[in-house]
Amino acid sequence: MSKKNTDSMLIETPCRVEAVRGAARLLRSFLAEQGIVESELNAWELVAMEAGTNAVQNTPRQFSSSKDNSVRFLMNAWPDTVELCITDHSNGFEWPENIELPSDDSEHGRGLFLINSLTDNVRYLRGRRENFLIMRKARQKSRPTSDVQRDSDLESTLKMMTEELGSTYESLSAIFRFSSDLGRVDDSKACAAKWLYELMKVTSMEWFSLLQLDEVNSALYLTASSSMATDEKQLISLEQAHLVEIDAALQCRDIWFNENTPAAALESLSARFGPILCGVAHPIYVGSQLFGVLCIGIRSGKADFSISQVNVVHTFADFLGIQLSNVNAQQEAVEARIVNNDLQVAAGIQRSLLPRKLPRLSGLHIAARSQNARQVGGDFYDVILDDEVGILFAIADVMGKGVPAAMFAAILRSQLRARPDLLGSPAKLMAWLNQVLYKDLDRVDMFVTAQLVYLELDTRQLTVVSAGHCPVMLTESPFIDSRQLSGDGPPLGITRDAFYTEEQTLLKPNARLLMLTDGLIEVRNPKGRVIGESVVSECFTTSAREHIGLEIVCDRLLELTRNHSDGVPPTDDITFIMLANDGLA
Amino acid sequence: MLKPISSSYPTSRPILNSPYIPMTTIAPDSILCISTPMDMNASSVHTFREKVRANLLVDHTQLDVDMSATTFLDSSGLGALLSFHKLMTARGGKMRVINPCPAVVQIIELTRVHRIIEISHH
Repeated sequence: MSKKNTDSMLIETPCRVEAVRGAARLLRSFLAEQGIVESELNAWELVAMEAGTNAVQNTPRQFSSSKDNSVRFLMNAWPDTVELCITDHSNGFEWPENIELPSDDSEHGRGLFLINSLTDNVRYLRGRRENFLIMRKARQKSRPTSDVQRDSDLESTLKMMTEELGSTYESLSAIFRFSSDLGRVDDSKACAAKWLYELMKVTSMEWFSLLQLDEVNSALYLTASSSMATDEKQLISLEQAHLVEIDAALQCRDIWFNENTPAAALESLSARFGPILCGVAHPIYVGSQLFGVLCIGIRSGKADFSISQVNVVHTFADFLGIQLSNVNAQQEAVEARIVNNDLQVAAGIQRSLLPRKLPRLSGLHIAARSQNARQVGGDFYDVILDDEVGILFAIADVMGKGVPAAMFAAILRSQLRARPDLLGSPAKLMAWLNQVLYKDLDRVDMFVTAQLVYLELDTRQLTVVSAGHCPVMLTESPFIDSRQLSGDGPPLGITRDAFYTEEQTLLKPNARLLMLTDGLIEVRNPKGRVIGESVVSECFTTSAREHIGLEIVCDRLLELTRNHSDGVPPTDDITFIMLANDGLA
Repeated sequence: MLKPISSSYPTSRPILNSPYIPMTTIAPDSILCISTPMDMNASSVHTFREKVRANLLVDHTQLDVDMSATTFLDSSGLGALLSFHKLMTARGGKMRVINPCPAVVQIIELTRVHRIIEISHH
């Protein structure tokens, strides 16, 4: 039922949403006849719909079909004001004191907010089975209907298009400038900061900060900010989940903040930009990987951000993430190439330190192998002739691998050759080496295990000295097994005044000696089991029993380790020297 | 506000008062495009929800809601958009609202739904 006067309209509808929708349309038409501008028509149509729907939804279903439960709309269009009074017969509800938007993920609770926002004054009178919702709003100055409607449509369409086109234009031109800058400058962070200043300008924001993910430290670190000293370094742990920037990263969604956001959540941003902030923390993803978080906003407690502003922030941030991620990947590739090149040079130097040719002596055969787990290793061996009196074998394992270990191996080699007077006294030579190397090794918290074996050529007397190194294996006829020889003393670099003891024996005819680093006996199979001393010793003694040449034995030992590892990459360097006494003692 | 641009643009925007657009078209395999009715309110939104549910497949990682035909949107319509946004996000996908008209944009901005759902104009 509807009644219409010159300045008022009364509609009474059944308690159904469809009927309420029809009433809202009729009220819109009535207001249009009164010369109300288009934007106000939209607002009143929505207000009538929201309020009417509310009345229907608050009426218990079993009563909604009753005639007594109709919903009545009375609209008055006075010269200065429009008033809509809705009467329903529901149980009513408590009108909230403060009407705020619900949380982002809530699907309900926006109706009252719309009514409140689109009108100037709202009163809710709750009675006994009769409730009144009275809403008023001042009228805007009107013009003839056709002009108003056309102009309003045109104006809002133009405004929206201008904003869209403006933001697109600004985004595109900034993208081109950024791409061009990135290709020219080395400092990608400075380039990002410059770009974000442009974003700030385009979106009329007042501050920004860009944080990048530091995966190693599980933190975000400050890359660029509108208030940042150039050398500033700030790390925010991902465990600080109460902060908006961390919340955005962990929840993978925009976190908006304003004057109502708890101060603790803005702790980090407020320290930089001031106490009252309004803006967004936007997580930046490159593919499915978190790259960082962009925080941007204004220094005010309250502000509405338009769709265009939000879209521009997203476009800039996501593009920035892709570009910086590409730059980082390129830099990492370049650095990897440089490191690889350095390692190749270091490996070349290390290879040049090993004896090119092993000495050939009457009645003695010598063979050796050295394999590094990486390009550059920490194992080292040397064979030095002591005039024609004796021969010194040195084998060492610097703790660790890579370039630092190789550097100490090189130093050890040069020091070993620096004291020819001590070659025949391996215990003294070892003590001297420890004194020389102690300071440098101690400074970098490294140590070296080493073994010196001196053989007197005439007497075939062997003297073995060990600095924490694995024992020498000696096998003699009938080559049933092998026995171990080792002196006693700590690794080089552990204590300044180390003392080393010697173990001596005669090298019998046909006896064989194996000096090794622990990499040979600690090769692991896929299940993690090490090859062990017994397997190596068995291969060594069997080969001696069968009079197999040393070069072939060396290859057999390496093959043994390869078979045992079954494809597991080696974790330690493998080095060994073999000596066979084919002459007489 | 964004910086104004002084150039001139075409003023036609063929979305107002356009007839109802058929609800469902499926563009590339991973994207479901659904058009909303002219009137997205408490009485019509149920049909929209049913249409989306009927057409949304497991393989769809993106839901594009074309709102170019919609001239009226109330809080129930907003609720439907938010529920599908939540659904898509929960399954690791995304949802976009495409080409809303100025009247709808006004409601979206007023309720700050654009902070949650991507709004795009093509």
